[in-house]
Formats: sequence, structure tokens, C-alpha cells
Amino acid sequence: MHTTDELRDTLRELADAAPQTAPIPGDHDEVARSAKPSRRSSRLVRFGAPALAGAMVAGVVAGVVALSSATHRTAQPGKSSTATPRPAHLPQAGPMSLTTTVFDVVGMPGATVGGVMADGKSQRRYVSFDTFRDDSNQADVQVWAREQWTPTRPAGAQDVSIHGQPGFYGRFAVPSNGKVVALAWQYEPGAWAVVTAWNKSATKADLVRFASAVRTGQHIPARLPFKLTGLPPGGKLTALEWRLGAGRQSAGGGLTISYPGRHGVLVISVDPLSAGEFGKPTTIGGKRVWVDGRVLEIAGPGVSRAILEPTTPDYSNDIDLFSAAETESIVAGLTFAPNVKDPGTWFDATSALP
Amino acid sequence: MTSTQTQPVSFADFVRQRQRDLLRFAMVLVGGDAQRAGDIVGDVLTNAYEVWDRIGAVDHPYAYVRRMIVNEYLSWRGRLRRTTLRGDLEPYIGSVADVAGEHAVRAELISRLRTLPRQQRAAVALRYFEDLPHADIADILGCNVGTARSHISRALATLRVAMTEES
Repeated sequence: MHTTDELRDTLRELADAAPQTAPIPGDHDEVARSAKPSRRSSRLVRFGAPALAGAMVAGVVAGVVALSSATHRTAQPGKSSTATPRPAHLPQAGPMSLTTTVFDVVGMPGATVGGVMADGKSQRRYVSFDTFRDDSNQADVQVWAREQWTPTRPAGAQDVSIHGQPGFYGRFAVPSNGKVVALAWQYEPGAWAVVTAWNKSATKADLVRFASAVRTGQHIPARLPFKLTGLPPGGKLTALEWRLGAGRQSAGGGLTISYPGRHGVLVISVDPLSAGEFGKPTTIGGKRVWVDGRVLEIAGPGVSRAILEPTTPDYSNDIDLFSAAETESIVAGLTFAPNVKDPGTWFDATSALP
Repeated sequence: MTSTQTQPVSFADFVRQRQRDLLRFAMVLVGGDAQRAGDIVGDVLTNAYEVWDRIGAVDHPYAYVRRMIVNEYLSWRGRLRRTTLRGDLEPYIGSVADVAGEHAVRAELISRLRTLPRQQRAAVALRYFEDLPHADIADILGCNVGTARSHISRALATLRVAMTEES
């Protein structure tokens, strides 16, 4: 038997491993002074949902490591590929591909480029300067499809030029981030990109340098740690996310499939955590599954799991989106990558979907 | 005469002063998954900001927000946020298998802690990390004191911890 003192010590040890800050976006000095929030919603951005959003004071909790003083460690997951993937058969929402990443960030010493969040209108990647140890030491790149977003130039904005294309630097509203200090430029006529540094020490020169490292016009196939073959008809792929496990960022991926005719969406995510924390164990489609309400947690190889959540389009309530037979088909048709932690074993997203 | 009314704390000050405490508490709740702990705290602070006029005026904003964290943890809303692109830290889980010797006890306790149902885990975190009395734990969990005691008792049995304080 253990003692309660040992239990207390253990809990303190667990607590000591807590991250330094919650994942809320860094803003700049003005925010800290006014305590006004910037807004961002991680999951909703990832999965293209309406902006429910998070109000955050960011500057007040942001770290202090400047972009320009980052430790020099380089990793470039998701390198460019000249191969053009075949389109997925599952219809995709929006004018920008979900299964092909259209930009990369190159030539930034010490930067770790994270995975991709795509919602059909834009693609977004985070870049860390401390291998994803602290949110305040990241930058955020969003690249928009043509006519999908036009920033409002604020009074006092400063003109910049990125690879000869016009842009400006100032404090203005950036989707998902709220009103922040950022740099936006028109990377091609009618199509904008924006970089936001989550660090109040970042300067205009930092953002110019950062924006200059963004390379659009890429065709990088997205990769997923799973593939699906048993989806019911009528679905439309509306969002996709993957991350390669760079630095301290864990590997994983997920997607959202909308079923407009059923007024619901299916959210699927796969990560390298153990299944079975919640719910009642059972077997569906030959797989070990834990059922908690309408949510299924499916055990994958090694330490990995898939979470299937059928929910309303605004993610507010889980719903009965599928029949039992359809659910069994989805679970039976789910194939995990051999090693969820190793992106080298993952599936090309264009072949991972029906 | 002096006023006994508490000066409302600003959201910015609260975050600056107590975010770390909230993260530590959340870390215990989720059994060492830093990514999830950060997500829960981030989401709760998001919600808290929206109603900060009310929260900032209560006597103990930390207790209020801590309750929000417990509710978030116990609800399913946090499930979808387990994976996230930004800055998600490697779960503490990875280091457990590596500890040895004098740390073996803690490793075993952490391992067992992760097997506890959510209500029990929350009760343990509130009792042995936050040092709250049973009545407060019951209030936070929305149950009666007897149920709160039962959660703790069953959790300690699973953890194989002798109930020295409870007996």
C-alpha cells in the first residue's frame, strides 16, 4: 500500500510537468495594456466550423523569446514535392485543396514547421522557434484561396513588399486570431497570405523575414495516420489536419466530413495515445472499441487510437448521425497506419479517403 | 471605516497570476497529458473571459475558474480538443516507463491514476492536490458529501493508497 503523502508527491510531480502557458495566442503590447482579447479557436479552425472562438489575453501570458533570437534547430517536415496527387473521390469543400498543401516555409534557421490545417478556403501552419515547447514562441501562417479573404488595411499601416508583391504591416483583424499585429501580402492577384507572430517582441523586420520564407505554389501531398473505406455516401470532406510530430509536437491527424443531408458532421482524429480511457468496451467491425454516448474510441496498433464523433455542424451536441450498420461499416473500414507515431508509415491523404 | 468589498480582479491580472496554478491542476486532472491540460485551460479561460465581469467580482475567482476546469474535464466537450496543431506538448506519459528506483512508486501511482474514472480522478485531484474539504469537493462535482467521499474511497482503493487521513 502507498501513503497519502506519496500520492500528494505524485500529484505534485504530475503538476510540475505542466506546460508554461495555456495554448492561447500571443498578441502584442497593446493587448497586454488594454487586456483586450484576440480570438482563436483551435478545433474550430481545424475543422472549419463557425467561429465560436476564444477570447484571450495573450500578450500578458506570452513568453519572451524573440523570433530573431530563436535557437537554431532546423526541421522541415512536409517538404515540397513535384508530384501532383490524384484527387480524392470524396468531394471536397472550398476552392483550395484539402489534401494538397499549397505552401511551405523554407530557409528559416531554427524553425520547425508544423503540420497543416486546411478547411477548403485557407491553409494554416504554425512555425515554432523552440520545437513547439511554448506557444508564445510560434508564428502562424495562413494562406487563403483567391477571393476568400481580403484584409482591411488599418490606418497607419506600413507598406511592405514580399517577393515583389504588395502588402502591409500593422494591427488588423486576422481570421481566428482577432486584431493582432501581423503582416499580410497579396501573393497573387486576389489571394492573400498573412503571418502573425505570437510574440510581443517580434518586430516588423521579423515578420518581413518570415513572410519572405513562405513559398506558395507548392503541391505537398497531405498525409494521414489512417485511411477510410467504409464511409456512408453523401459525405463531403470539409477539413483536414495533420501534424508530423515535429519537436515536442505529437504526431496525428484528423478530418471532418460533413453530411449536409443529415445535418451533421463526422469528426475523426487519430493520435498516439492509448484508447480506452472512457466508455464501455465492446467490439465493432472486428475492432476493439470503447463507446461513450455516441462517441467511439477505437484502439489502434501500439499506443494509438481513433476517436469518431458524430456531431452537429456547430459541434455543440453529439448526435445519431449513422445507423448501427453504417457505424460498423465506418469502423470496419478504418485502417490505422502501421505506426501512428511515424509519419513515414502514413497514407497519402489522396488515397486514404474513399 | 474601511470597505470590506473585494476589488474586482482584471482578467489580465488573473491570467498572469493564476494561469500556472490552473495548468498544474489541469495536469493532475488529465493524468499528465500536457496537451490536454493546456487545451482545457485555454478553453476555460476563453469562456471565462466572456463573463469576466461576473467572475472577476466574486470573492475567489480562482475557485470559480477551477470549477469550470473540472466541468470541462468531466464533459465531452474537451474530447475534440485533444489533438491540436499548435504547441501540443508530448504527453508526460512517455517518461513514466523510464523512471525507476525511488520513482517507481510514483510511476505506479500515475499509471493507476490514469485508470480512474473521471469523477474519481477529479475527486482525488481536488482532495490531494488542491487540499479541499469533502464538502467543497461535493459542491464542485455536484454530488452530496457521501458520494464525494465514496469517489475518493474507491479511487484510493484502486490506487492502493491507505486511507490514513480519511479513517
